[in-house]
Amino acid sequence: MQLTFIMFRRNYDGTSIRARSIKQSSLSERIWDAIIAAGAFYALWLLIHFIHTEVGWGEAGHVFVLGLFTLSRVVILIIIAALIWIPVGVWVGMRPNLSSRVQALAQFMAAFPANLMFPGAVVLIVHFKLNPDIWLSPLMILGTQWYLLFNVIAGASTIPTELRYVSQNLGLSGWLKWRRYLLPAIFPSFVTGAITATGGSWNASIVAEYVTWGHTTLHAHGIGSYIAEMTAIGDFPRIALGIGIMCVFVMGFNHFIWRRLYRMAENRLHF
Amino acid sequence: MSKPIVELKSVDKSFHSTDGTARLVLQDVDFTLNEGEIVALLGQSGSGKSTMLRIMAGLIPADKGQVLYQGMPIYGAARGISMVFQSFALFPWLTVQKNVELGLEAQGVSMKERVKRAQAAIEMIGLIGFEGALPRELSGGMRQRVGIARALVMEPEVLLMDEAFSALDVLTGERLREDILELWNNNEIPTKAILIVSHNIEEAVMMADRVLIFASDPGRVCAELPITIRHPRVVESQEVRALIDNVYGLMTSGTSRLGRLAEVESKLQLGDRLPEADIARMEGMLELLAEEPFNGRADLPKLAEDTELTDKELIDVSRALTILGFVQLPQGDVVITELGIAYVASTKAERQQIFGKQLLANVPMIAYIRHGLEQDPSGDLPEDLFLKLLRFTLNQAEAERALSVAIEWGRYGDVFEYNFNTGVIHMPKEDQATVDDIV
Repeated sequence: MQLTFIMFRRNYDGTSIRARSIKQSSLSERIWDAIIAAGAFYALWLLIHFIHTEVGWGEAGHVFVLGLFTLSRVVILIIIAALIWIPVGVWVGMRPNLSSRVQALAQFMAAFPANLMFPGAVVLIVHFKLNPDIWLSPLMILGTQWYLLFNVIAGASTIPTELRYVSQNLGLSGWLKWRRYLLPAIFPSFVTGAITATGGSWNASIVAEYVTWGHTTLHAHGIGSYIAEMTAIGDFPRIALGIGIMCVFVMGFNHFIWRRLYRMAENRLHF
Repeated sequence: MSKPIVELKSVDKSFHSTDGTARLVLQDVDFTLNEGEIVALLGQSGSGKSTMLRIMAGLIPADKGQVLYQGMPIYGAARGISMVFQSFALFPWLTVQKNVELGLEAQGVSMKERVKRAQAAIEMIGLIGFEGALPRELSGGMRQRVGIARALVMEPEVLLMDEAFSALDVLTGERLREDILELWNNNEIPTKAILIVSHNIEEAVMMADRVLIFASDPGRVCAELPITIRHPRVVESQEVRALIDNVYGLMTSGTSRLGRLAEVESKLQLGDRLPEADIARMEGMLELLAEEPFNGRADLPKLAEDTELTDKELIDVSRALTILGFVQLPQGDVVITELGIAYVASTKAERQQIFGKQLLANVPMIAYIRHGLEQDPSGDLPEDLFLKLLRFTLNQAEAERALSVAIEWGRYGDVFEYNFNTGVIHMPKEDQATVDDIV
């Protein structure tokens, strides 16, 4: 133990030439870049080659359409969850002695494995003969909606006291109060929560769009159920295709939607 | 002329901390704000002045007593009462124009009318050209102008200013103050009464027709001083200086004599908050006082100028020095004591010894901690123990502040040591014997 510490000890200080900063040789960096680029191109070529010979472009297009199904589910669910949890989160966040307790509850709910609820959903859907394309969807957000809730609570509880008094003093109420004061105030933390929740929902789609309980298997059309099905069969190339396209969706969504919203929040909407 | 506009009648207010203990912040407060006057409310921080202001604005309800506006009880924020805040409290995502318009928007004033009135307010307060700016682009002074414009655009009958100039530098604060006074004196605003909460004595004396001094724990009005000097007032004039002196006197003695009439020269109690004075500042002031030109006696306002301390800092430092017996405070003056002179003449090590000795003799909290440590065989105790004790009389933040002051002083006087990482207070390590000598 003592020895290892001695081994890391430095016997010179800043006056020694040995302390000068050593420039990274640009050659080694270039080589590293080249290796990474080569790897990326190889992977891309493999993918194209694989799609061309094994599955055909038709199936890739089909998986992309399935991705769009799942995308619309994610978007709609986030909107519904936002409509529910933003008012609740703001209400709780403004009450300090309540918010710590609700935070704890939300964290517990987020940690609770949502798949335990799935069999119940299957039983209900089968019993009432519901359309699984619609009614399996809510399962995707069951576990991830709590990120929205506790980020909104955190956001609302950091609103400065004097700002609350101003809104009271100016007599803000109703929709005006939400538009001019509450929504902008919680927007940055809402975006943080929504990024986590959507990312999680994409993942959850793999288990939520393809649910088995006993002898009953329900599945909804979507990229999640595609991946789950291929996993059940053990078709490794198609699993890779599904996951690859899902990654494209998630990253595209992050890049074009969330990054922009996040930058807007950073620039304009903070105290 | 003296028609009451806002009245508080025997108002009580307590706050509940998260652990459920209640703390009385205002007790039996009677106050009347009359038409045509500017009233300034002075007091130490934490004395409940801001709470009183918020109750008057209808932002928080009183626990007991009556709050009347125009003779009618109020149950929530009243339209005729506007407030200006210390932190400016602008909406950071709205432009200056939108910030100013917001109150009118909430009242449902039409867009055209809104823009017109907001423009007028912006012009009046000197913000032309900044309509499209976001608050974060503006300096503190300009931000507070927006805050004032936002209050004035509502054409309030009562204007409440909660430490409105405290976050600004001296020059900017003075400028804004004069602007407000000018609007008021020339009747350019429909406002009928202004109440200012402040801890700047000069500000209060320069603006107000009446100065009220607030005592703390629980907060109540302990002294009232009418000011009849005509505007514009000149800071350097005899009468203004005399008044400032007078207020300093009331403020420094006010904490003990006026505040608690029953007690004789109130000694510090175990659970009292300690003045927030750091040691370097205390020693600096003591040295300054001992030297030319003061030669041991100084006028508090004069000292405030020379040291460039704010009134709050100065009062805290002089209170701390009084507690330790280094100075006395007769009527707005500071007079160094024999002990203070001896202290200044001592070496560093001797100073620390004297300091420690005075702490044990005069600060019950520190003596209590020391006693506890001596009784304990291991010679160390967790700070939580003392925090809990302080929580009987103070709220969490105040208790923490009081303990941190006690720890800073105790460390300097070598009465005890404190390990921040473990949160344990313990006896000074090597020199048990020498400490016993001091005691």
